[in-house]
Amino acid sequence: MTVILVPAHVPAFRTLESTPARALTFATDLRAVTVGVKDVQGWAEGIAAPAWQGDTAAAHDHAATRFARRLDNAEAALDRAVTAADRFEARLTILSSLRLRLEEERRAVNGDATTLRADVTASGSAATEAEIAVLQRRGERLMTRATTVIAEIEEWVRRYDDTEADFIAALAGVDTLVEGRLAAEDPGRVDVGPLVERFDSLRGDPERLNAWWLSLTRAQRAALSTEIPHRVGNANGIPARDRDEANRAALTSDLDYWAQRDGDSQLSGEERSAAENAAHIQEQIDEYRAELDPLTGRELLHLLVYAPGSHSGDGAVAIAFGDPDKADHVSVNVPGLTSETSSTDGNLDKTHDLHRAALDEDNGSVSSIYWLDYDAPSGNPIKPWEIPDLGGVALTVKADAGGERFADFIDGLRGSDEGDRAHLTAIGHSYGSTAVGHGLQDGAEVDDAILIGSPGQPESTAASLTDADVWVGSKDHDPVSLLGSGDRGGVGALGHDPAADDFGGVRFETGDGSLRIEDLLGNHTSYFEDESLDNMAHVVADNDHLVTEQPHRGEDGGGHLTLSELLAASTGASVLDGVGTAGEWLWEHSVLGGIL
Amino acid sequence: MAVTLDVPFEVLRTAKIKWDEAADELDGNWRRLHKSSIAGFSAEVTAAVEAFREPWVDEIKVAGERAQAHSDEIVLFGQRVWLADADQAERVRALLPWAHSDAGIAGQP
Repeated sequence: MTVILVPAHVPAFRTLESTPARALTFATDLRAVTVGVKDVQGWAEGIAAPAWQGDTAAAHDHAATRFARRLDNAEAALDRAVTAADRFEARLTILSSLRLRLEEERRAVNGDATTLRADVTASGSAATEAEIAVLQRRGERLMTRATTVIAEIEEWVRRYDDTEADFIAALAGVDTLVEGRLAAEDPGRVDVGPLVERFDSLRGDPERLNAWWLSLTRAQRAALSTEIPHRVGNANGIPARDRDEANRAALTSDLDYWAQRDGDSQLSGEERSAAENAAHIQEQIDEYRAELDPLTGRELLHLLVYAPGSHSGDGAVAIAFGDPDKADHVSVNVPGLTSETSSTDGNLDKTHDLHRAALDEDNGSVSSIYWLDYDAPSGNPIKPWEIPDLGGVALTVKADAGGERFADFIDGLRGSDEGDRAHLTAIGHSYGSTAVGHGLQDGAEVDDAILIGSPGQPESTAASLTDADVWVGSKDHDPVSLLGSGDRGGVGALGHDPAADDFGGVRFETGDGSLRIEDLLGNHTSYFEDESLDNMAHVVADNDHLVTEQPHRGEDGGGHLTLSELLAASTGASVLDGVGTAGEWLWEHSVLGGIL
Repeated sequence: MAVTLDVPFEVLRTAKIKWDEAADELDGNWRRLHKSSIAGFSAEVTAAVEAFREPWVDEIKVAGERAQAHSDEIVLFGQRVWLADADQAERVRALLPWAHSDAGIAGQP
């Protein structure tokens, strides 16, 4: 009798009862609580009796000292729980990815078994010896695959049970006040003071900071992230994942604190402004929470910079879609004049659009970052030299300062990059392109630079600006792009027109945009659309050969209006009644839009 | 005769503010911990999280209430602190930085 072994179907196996996303949310909550408790405990400790001073009875009578000591127990317990939750989430993330692979293989084996069974039945008694041999070999291979996947599933279940058991045990170890006190007195407790000192000494050197950070234990990193969350979250060189965790903890803690202050009507003007900025950021996190990074299984959004009270109250924020440390291609786009944290949503949507477009290039993984951590001035984009309290020189100074911060941020990305060196693209829009230009002057290590709607660059040629490939998107009916000095003049307050032929960049196709007054602003703010977006995605994903070009200004086919000609022509082309001049119209409509 | 505490007024004012801020911060903390969702966890993990949360929510809540009470203890009128008697003066002194722990208390109400 001929025997052909066909494996039985591999049964379905357990799902993840505890999910990584849930664990991450819980860990963020715990971290935020720990940040607040540490903040208060640190202050109380600062006014408490030093351990080496005063008799015990006197110190005991000192209420602030008693308060600090008791709160320290809570802090120690929370530190342990944060470390456990962090580890729990990391292990669940790995198990989640592994489960997807196992489930795929299980289904494949079952499908192949069904097919083989049907083939055996179909072959019947008329099958030749050769055909039977083929079926037997298929059956043997399938048995091996089934046995393997069953063993891997059993191992997965064991690891999952261990993961839950370890987390449960860690929490159980600090779920009483007595255990909190013991944790506080544990000689093995992380001494965060020296770690903070070392951390501060390495800030400004992303590579060394990254190497040192990676040498720390999980408990040490967790303790630092809750002790100084703002500093850890905003430090260039700290891994993106850890920056995200620290910044989310700081954000959550801040929002809780300000909510209480607001409830007591005690918020200062500065606090209210910062609280509003923080709320805007939280809204963005919530909006994109459901999107997961296929590369890591974690949330797609990473909060890389969080400083809601900085830059004269405008706040600072940087948000990445995808983990830049792990991605093959990373882009960082910098917005322009009037950008502030409260206008993040529109700019973030553009970054997200670019992220999707670059992923669709199918040339590797992508992380797309929106970066607003410089003091972007506010003012009339058509007459930037007339901005109240600011002259053209001040505008240049702010772009220069922004460029320096941008270059530092890029250094940080290089410092925390994992694996093969990422292909990195800087994108500057409008005044942000001028800031990026200054960053390139400062030596920002990018492979490509995209300058869109640029009012000017600090160098007259791409080659003198950077070693990177320079790409330029300039619609001829975008008035801001006509501000730079170029082949037909230009104000030049912010530098040279990168679309000019003698600049030497590659001018990619964007179209010219509508000539009507009411569309000029749209021309300036629509580079993240249509062929312009496609071309930027080609550059970001390193598909340079797919970029379509249009003639430079000043070369054959590159004829264009000057700014004054454009404003006059567009006034005539308007379908609006009662419009005075294009400049007035633009100014009235640009304030809310963040035109530069 | 009024009770006096030999401490600069600014120290007292700052202490009151800081205790009040501490109360606000801890108030937000225990609420955050209390409402941290346990959806999406297995039953065993949920039980462990709840067991961990309970004592620390209570502890942080108590600490916040104590901080608020400390702030309320320091009663300021204009540029002066109100002290009912020597006992209250000692209680207020115990809420100040340790450097002022031996500040003199003088007089009786």
